[in-house]
Amino acid sequence: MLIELPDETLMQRYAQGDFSAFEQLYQRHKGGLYRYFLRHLGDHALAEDLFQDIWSKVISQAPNYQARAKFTTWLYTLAQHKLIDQVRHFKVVNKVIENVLTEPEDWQQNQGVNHLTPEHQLQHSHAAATLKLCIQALPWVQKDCFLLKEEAGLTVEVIAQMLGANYEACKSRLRYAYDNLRQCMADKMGQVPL
Amino acid sequence: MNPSDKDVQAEQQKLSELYHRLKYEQPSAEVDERILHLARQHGALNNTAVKQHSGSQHTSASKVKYTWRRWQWPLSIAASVIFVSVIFIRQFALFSPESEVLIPQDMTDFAMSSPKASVQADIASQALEMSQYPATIRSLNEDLQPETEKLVLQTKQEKQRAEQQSVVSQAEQQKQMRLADTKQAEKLKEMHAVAEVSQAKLSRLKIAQLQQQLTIKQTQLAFLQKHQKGEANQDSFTANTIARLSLKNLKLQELKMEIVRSQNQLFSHMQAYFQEDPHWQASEQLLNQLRLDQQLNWHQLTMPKQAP
Repeated sequence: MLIELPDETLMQRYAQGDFSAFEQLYQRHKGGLYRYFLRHLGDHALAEDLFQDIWSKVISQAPNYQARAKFTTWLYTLAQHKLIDQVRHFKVVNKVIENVLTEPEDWQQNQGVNHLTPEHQLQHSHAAATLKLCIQALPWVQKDCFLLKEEAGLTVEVIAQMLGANYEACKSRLRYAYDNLRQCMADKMGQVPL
Repeated sequence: MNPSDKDVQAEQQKLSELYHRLKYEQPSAEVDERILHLARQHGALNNTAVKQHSGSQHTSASKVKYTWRRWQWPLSIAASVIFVSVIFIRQFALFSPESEVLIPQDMTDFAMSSPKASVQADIASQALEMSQYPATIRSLNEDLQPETEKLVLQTKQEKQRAEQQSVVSQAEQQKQMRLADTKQAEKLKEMHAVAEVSQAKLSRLKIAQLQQQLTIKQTQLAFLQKHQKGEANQDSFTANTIARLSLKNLKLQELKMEIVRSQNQLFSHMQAYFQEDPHWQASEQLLNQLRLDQQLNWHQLTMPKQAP
């Protein structure tokens, strides 16, 4: 029953003391939000810290929550502001990118492709790792647009509102992000694998 | 939509699918547990609040709660500031001994005359004011009263000391100025005396100089007269002799006139010097060099003053 309810209703029910509504909400968005931080920062510990901060904020602001906009938009706006603050204060972006480029992540963490054959698994792992590297190498604004679209599932219009940019600019940022990713994948692997 | 757009969308779709296959990263179980625990705690609180304020009262009660939450900090700060300000303004007079609050207008003269009396007046005025204070402020005043009394007394004593010092320093200054004036006057006197002495010396020197000139001229006259008598006794008078004698007579006349002029000058100098120094007595020799009428005049001038 809770699965069918929209995020905003779940949040309002949690504000009235329904913990199961929050559980449902958390399960829906925890992966996307965590990966949003992780892709930007490339550091698990840091991503977890920011992730926890954002959910703490959601919990503390639940009594004041008013469903003026989509919950996802509100959640990722909080996340983006937090991320910008973090990047401005600690200037970790360059450091993280360097670390990631020099020390690729452990490919054995890939758990989502267990059903594939070993050959496919190997090929897929390689593609996944390459895509991660290519995402890390994207310029900040393009990466932000890409992650908001892919992880939060936001439309271009909503992303433009969130970033304070106009629709066309946001659309072109997104297109450049995909172009750069495709080019990067082609350079590293010869083609974009499926 | 043209074919190239379709290609682009297909490429984007491919990348999107590939990216979604990467979605295996999740936050750790510990983080999940912590967040859910926090949410449960807050949820329990919210639940209690909801139960307590259920029904129609819920909205208004929560509104009141949120309004109070919103304004509690500004109101608390404002109340604290006002409280501190009131205390400060009330107590400010006690910490500033020079303030007129402690010395009422009608008691100022009396207070200035004796420090102890002024302190008593201060205490009386404070007592009057204290009767209007709240109990807490009154107790504060009672604690501070002896210290205030001491402070006022000390301040007045310091004032008196400062005034005494200033009077003493003024007197010393005047004394020094008088001394300086006296010294200056003495110096002037000395200078004046020196100048008088110098003037007298100068006058005497002038008189001596005139006397010498007169002596020389009188000697010349005597010599010429003697020489002329010798020539006049000769028997034969030639034309040259007569001419020479007439020339010498002329010279004699001129010399006599010069002697008279010198005698006049000398006499006038003697008179001037006598005016300056009435005790001065001209020598016999000097008096002899004057004419008879001058000698008489000199005696007339000096006799009444020199007579006992």
